Amino acid sequence: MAFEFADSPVPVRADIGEAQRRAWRHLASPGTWLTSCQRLAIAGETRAARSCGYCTQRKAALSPHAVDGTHDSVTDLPPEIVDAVHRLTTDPGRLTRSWYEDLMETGLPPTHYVEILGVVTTMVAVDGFHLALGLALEPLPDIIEGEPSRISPAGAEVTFAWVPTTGRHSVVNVMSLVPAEVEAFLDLHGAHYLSIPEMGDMTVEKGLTRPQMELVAGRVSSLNECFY
Amino acid sequence: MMLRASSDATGSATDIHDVIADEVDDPVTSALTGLVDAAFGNGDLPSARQRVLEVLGPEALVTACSVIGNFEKMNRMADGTGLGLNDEQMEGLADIRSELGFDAFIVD
Repeated sequence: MAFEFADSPVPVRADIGEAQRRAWRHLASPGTWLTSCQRLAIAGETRAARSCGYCTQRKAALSPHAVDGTHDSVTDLPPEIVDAVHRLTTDPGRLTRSWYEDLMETGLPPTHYVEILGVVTTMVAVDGFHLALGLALEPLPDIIEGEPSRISPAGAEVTFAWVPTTGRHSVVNVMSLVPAEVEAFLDLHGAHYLSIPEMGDMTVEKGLTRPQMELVAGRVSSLNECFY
Repeated sequence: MMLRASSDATGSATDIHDVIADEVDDPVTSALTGLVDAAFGNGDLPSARQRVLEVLGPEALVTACSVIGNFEKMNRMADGTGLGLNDEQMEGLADIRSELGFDAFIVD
């Protein structure tokens, strides 16, 4: 069974393993717009980005446009998707609206982009946990056959983000164009950090006090130069 | 904002400036920031883990690592979609933005 953490130097809370198993099943399943094959290719590309030489050079450059090169890709995904996955993974703090608009001009629909973002960020969360704790990365799951659901929410508009959204201005709704990715995000969020009900409790403790959790969160965001 | 609110609610001495400080005196804060820094390649990760274990214990180490993973995700969700702060959030964070020097990153 996946996510048993046999190599962990310390016991891992059961809810973390359970949430990561659900996240892996979600990754391997047909998405809303992408096939399970495409989703797992994006997952593999997210992992590959961590050791991509071009990404390393570009991250170190004053501007991401200052370096030419080719990504160390491990899939047959189109180059613009590979580039998007690698940039989201390795240099998110320097993404811009014009970058997003250029990507949309290649013909990638916003729905598909949001789903790609959902896969990339799930991978980053699960692998980030493993790497921080010194665990071997979990092998990617096997494909679960099926067809994408192609379910679109009504009334999505570009309001508080580059991508169309529904609902109020909040990070919770930023992937609302693809509701299945919001559900997956909240599931993992509850185990890795706090559930939505727990978010309102400033005295909640989960191995760390709430201020200690927020210190870690703030430090990560600072190092990523994310100021949301 | 959550750090300030939770520190106020719990009477914690955790200081907002510790989020970006290079050196921290408090051993708990130092262990946690050292772990995050090492996870980002700035320091020896096994030593940083050991320090959290010694200062805070195994449950704390697991939670710290899960929060690191979670905010690696949240940051990309925000930056990958151009999510900014709304007016209410900007107003509520005005003093913190100024104190930590984040206003320098605002582009009109």
